[in-house]
Amino acid sequence: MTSRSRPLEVSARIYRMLLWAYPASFRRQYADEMAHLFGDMAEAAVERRGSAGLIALWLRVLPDLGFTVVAQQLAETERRVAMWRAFWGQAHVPAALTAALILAALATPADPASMLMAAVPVLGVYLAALASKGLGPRGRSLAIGIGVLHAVLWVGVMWFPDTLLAGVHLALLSATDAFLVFVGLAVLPWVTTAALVGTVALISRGRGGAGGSDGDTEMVA
Amino acid sequence: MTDSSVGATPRPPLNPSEFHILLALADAPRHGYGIMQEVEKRARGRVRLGPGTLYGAIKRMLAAGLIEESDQRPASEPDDRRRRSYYRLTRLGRQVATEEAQRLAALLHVAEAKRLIRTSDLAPRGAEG
Repeated sequence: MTSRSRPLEVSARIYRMLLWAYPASFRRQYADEMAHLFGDMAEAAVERRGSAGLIALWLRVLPDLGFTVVAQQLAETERRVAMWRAFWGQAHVPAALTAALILAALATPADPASMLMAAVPVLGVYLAALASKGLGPRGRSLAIGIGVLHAVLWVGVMWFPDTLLAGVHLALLSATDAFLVFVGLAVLPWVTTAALVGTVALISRGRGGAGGSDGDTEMVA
Repeated sequence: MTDSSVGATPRPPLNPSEFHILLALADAPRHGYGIMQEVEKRARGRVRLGPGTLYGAIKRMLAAGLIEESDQRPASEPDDRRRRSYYRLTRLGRQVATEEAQRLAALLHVAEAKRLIRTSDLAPRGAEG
């Protein structure tokens, strides 16, 4: 066991602390070895040139540390973004469905029928965004805006006072069978949502050209 | 012997620090400090790898399958050094190092043909042991 001088001990401790700037995965794998390596380099530097050697070593090691911390943090961020992309690439439709259900539950009166009826137009916003890939930023914003308006209208309908709906309800009941009225009302949000998304998809495909569009192509007016 | 590189996708040139590490490991497994010393010795101090650069390159090269951790420990090393991770070339790493050396040698011939250098100028540097 070699006894180290105070400057060496302090330098080693500071270097080990600086290693915390690296991403955790890199640190777990290499921090101990890098600390050992720094210790060896510091001992050799002090042996050769004393304190001046140690200062020179710090001047060499600090820029290396700065550059490689940035590089490793960027690499780690890229790795995480790729991981999230891979995850959402698989799960984005169920995730959007779940989000739509939660939003609909929060935005409508506390009955399951209202929630389910409102969830479809809310999900329609996401589907309109997907369908509008060939429209360019402006067309896409317009499609999403119309989708949001459509969802807000349907959520608003769920909040209409019962007295206002009662008249419509009674008129429909007098006209036809109660079950058919219920089914008709439940299906209506699906129909309007499908019409909205279908229209956006058709326009988007038309704008994308015969060769097909890979999306996000700005259409210059 | 068949040329395993025939028909394979051409690899991009290695970055200099990775090539130096491959060269340092070409004759023996080494730990980080050993690699650093060998690189400095062979490059006559003109190439100096910092700890972050060295271990960043080691991480990439392990992931690319160019090097691997080695269980071999030189008996002459002190105990604390024998406990450190040693690295050695894989078959792929040796092949990549050979291809890179051949690529550089070909460039050297071009430079010589265009009278930019003379191999006699390089002889003393290459002859170090």
